[in-house]
Amino acid sequence: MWYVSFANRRLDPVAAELRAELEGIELEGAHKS
Amino acid sequence: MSIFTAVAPAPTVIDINPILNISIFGAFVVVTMFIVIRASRNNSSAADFYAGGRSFTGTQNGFAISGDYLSAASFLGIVGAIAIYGYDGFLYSIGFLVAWLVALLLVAELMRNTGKFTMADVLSFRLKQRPVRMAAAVTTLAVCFFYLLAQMAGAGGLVSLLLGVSDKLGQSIVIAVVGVLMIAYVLIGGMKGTTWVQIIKAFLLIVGAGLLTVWVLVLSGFNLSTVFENAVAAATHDPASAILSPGLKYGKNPLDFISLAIALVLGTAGLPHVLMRFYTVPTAKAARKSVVWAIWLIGIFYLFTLVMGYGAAALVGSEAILGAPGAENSAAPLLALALGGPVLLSIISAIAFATILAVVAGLTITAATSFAHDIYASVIKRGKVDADAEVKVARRTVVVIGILAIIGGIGVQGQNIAFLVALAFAVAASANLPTILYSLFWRRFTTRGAIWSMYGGLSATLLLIVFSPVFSGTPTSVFGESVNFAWFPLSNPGIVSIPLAFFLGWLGSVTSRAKEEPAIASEMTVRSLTGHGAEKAVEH
Repeated sequence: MWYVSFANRRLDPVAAELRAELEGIELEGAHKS
Repeated sequence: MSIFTAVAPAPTVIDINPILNISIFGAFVVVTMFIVIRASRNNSSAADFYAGGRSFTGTQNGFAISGDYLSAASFLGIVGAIAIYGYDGFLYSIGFLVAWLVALLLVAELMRNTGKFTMADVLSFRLKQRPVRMAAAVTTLAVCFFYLLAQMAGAGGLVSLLLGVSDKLGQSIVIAVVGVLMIAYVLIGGMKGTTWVQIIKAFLLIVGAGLLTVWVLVLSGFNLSTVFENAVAAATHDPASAILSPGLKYGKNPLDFISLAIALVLGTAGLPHVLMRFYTVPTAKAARKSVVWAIWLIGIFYLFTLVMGYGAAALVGSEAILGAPGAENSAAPLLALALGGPVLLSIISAIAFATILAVVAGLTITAATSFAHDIYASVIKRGKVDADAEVKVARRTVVVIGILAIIGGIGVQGQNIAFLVALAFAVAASANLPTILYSLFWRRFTTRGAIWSMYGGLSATLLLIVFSPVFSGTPTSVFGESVNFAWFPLSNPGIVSIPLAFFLGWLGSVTSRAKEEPAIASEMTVRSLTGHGAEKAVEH
């Protein structure tokens, strides 16, 4: 279960950050076009 | 020891009460049908019908996964195997549980982020849609069909013990009733209703098994050693202590056990009805939580099988179990009868039927989704079909699959059920898992590699099974001892077919001149790791 606590604490915040960044880029592109 | 011997001896003529059994089972059907109808009120979109609106929590989905996974083979088959073969029987429990590490660490979250409704969504993401979807649908239907046949055959065998129906016509009617109920659950409730049936059934199964376990432990002063000592005392093996050591079932051919273990451990992560459950939760985190819940629930249940199996060996005895209708599969119900009389037998019987019903419903919706979404919408209509028409086809497919399962179930009555389940696991491990892992983790994987791996794995598995002792050459073979065309010595083909499928996937990819689009491979990697662009939960 080490993986689960590692994924909950470390991986999920990084994934959420990247997702938000990608969504921001997409939104920016949509506004420009 | 003295308390154990005070329990009523194993009955030679089973004291059954069919009316009580049918009443308890009927109550389960009425309650679950009510819940299914309520749950289905919001079923309006394809995501509702196929994936329950992706609205289940990780905990709920963990229970549903346990309900899907703990089939009649787990409850009746493993308890019976432990009661007769001791240590070797428990190895099934270990194999089935360890398999979840593969699902947790390699598959669950990435599948949830990448796919939409079926396994083929992931496999075809960066490969050519039509051939890959077709191959994935064929392997999905093959796994579901063999698994369905095993459950339906289990229903027929159980009924002779539980309802006192021993003639073929009576058993066929019961199989038809199970089939009709299964069709009704799926048509009315879709994935949402099916999931609730599985949640209720998982809860009942674990409570029922827990009750038997605690009862056996109470009789042995909560001392596991006493349970084992009593099982040894009642054993008819020579030496009696052999029931605690490896070798009673697989001593003659350890390679056969290794082959079976590989298929069990790697098969779970390739079972389409298990993979589809990851799409019923809103996020990858919930998918991870589902698996953690499933591991705990399934793990606890398999610990119960150890106590129930050795308890049945001690309290019922292997001769009484093998002599009862249903043979090995009757160990758990006979243990319930020895402990709590006809009422407990009725409760455990109803739970066993509920188990079969929930599992066949889960398999049916998986097979129907795969046909409608992958074959009809993507291959036949080339994606030019609206979601409503696709769901309509899925509903019709449910009826067709239900009828086929009833006919097949009647046809395989009395056949070796374990062989059908092991075949389903072997097909899943050989035809599905290599392609899933290559798709998720190897960027140079190509369409040719996927096709070779899936069709090659499926063909090799079926071919080796047909030419194995399962079909001919032994007294328990499908064709009996008199016919012998078994040139493959193992009962499970996993040790050959799984590495072969991995090899074919690699060979097909490295020899393929047409390379896949690297940009789509990158998109898939980002999507699978971050969840960007993944399907969201349906709002009602």
